[in-house]
Amino acid sequence: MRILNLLLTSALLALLGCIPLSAHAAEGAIKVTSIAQVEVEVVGKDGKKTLKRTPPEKAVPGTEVIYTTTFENTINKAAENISINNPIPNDSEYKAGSAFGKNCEILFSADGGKTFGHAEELKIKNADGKERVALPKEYTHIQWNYKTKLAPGKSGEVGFRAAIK
Amino acid sequence: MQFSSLPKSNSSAGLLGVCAWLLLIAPQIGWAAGTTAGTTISSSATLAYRLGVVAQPNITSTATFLVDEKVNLTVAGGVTTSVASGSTAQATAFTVTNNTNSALDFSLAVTSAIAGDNFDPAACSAFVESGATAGYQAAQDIATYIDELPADATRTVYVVCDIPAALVNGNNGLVGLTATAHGNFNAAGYVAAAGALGGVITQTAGADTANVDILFADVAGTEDIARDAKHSARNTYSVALPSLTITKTIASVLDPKGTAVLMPGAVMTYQIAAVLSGGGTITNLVITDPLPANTTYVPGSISVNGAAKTDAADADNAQFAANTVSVSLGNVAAPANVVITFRATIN
Repeated sequence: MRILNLLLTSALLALLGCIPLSAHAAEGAIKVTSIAQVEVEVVGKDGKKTLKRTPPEKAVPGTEVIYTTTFENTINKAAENISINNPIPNDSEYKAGSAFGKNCEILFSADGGKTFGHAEELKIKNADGKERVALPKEYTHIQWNYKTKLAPGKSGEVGFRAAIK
Repeated sequence: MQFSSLPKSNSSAGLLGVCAWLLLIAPQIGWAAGTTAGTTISSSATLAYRLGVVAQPNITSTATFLVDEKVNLTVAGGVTTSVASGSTAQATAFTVTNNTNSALDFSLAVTSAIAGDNFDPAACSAFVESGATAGYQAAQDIATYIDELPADATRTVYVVCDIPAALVNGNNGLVGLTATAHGNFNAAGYVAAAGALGGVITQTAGADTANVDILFADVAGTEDIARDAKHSARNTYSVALPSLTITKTIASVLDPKGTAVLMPGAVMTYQIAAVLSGGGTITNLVITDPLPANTTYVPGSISVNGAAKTDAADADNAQFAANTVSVSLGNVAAPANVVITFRATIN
């Protein structure tokens, strides 16, 4: 349902004159789709403020962008050991605590993807050689390890937020 | 499909609003001007998996978009410049900062007919500091627009006006400087044009485009409104007559025993400090100081602002004659400081 909603939303946005989501669905046994969106506050007729997601077409420095990757098993066999690796995009800064993914162990890297660990395990060396815990804005990669098999027809969703520097 | 054939619901009306303008209020975090407009930001997710025990080829999906151009600038003023009534070509300094994530050109406009002051500065022009010599130099600072100002860079701009005659001390005249962003449009949005003022920048209207969009993010200035690719500030010309304060002190004493006791034979160093404040110019300023009784001038001991002077009535502007030190300073523009020292021995 979530994917259906997403597709309906993007179709509606396209009809309304917004540019379709810039995404490339990669084909294989698992269909992987990454999208970038921004969240905007919309004031309804009743004066209530709600957050809507739209394509990041007016993305200026400082804007927080939401990156979402969906994956769907399109064959009749369960997929195992699913792991998704996403470098933090160029000219962007990871937003602390924003990584999400149901049924996933979420790990980070602060050394260009060489080693991954939980947030408190990531160390960075200062100029004086002393080690300290890496700050979220220093993360270079995020990895999601799906904890179970992905049954045929099932899908999952992971993502994070990063601000444009 | 035409929009009119879509079901008209509150939610679709709201979404239209989103497309048109609401992205402006997306959370803003500061990185100064930030990533250059036109930069492609690319996020790639790579998925690895197995079918049974067999590892499968990785699948990658990439989301990309272009960084849009946020046109923003700051004109800073708030400076009060002391001037003399009737003086011409009086410069007052502003700064213009490019807060856009792209280099741009900036045109300059001066407003002098402003309510709430005592007079309107006349014949005003704006000139860009060339960087060759600090302060306004009529011969050097001749550019009338800022060419190719990089992101986050600041230039000094001088507004130069004539001050009307017959004003009195304390009269104020406001002058406003408005800078407007200019550029030439290309794939990276508006960029600075070299050697020529770029065209007028227009904000991307209505629906978003996949190309670089243009957003105005400037705040309102004293002479302009918010989100108009302009910013402005005001300076004040304040009429102040020059005033002169002279202070004479004994800067040091050296007695024959090498200590600092005022006794016969001790040499005193006198210091005369002349402080010229306010605005305008004092003409033909001469400072004279007859030596006190029972003292003898130490020949060749006059210095003006640290430069040694001779005692003779010659080309340098100081002399000792008729037991009097005199220094001719000629025409001195305020504000200025002059320090004269000389020595005398107690008889």
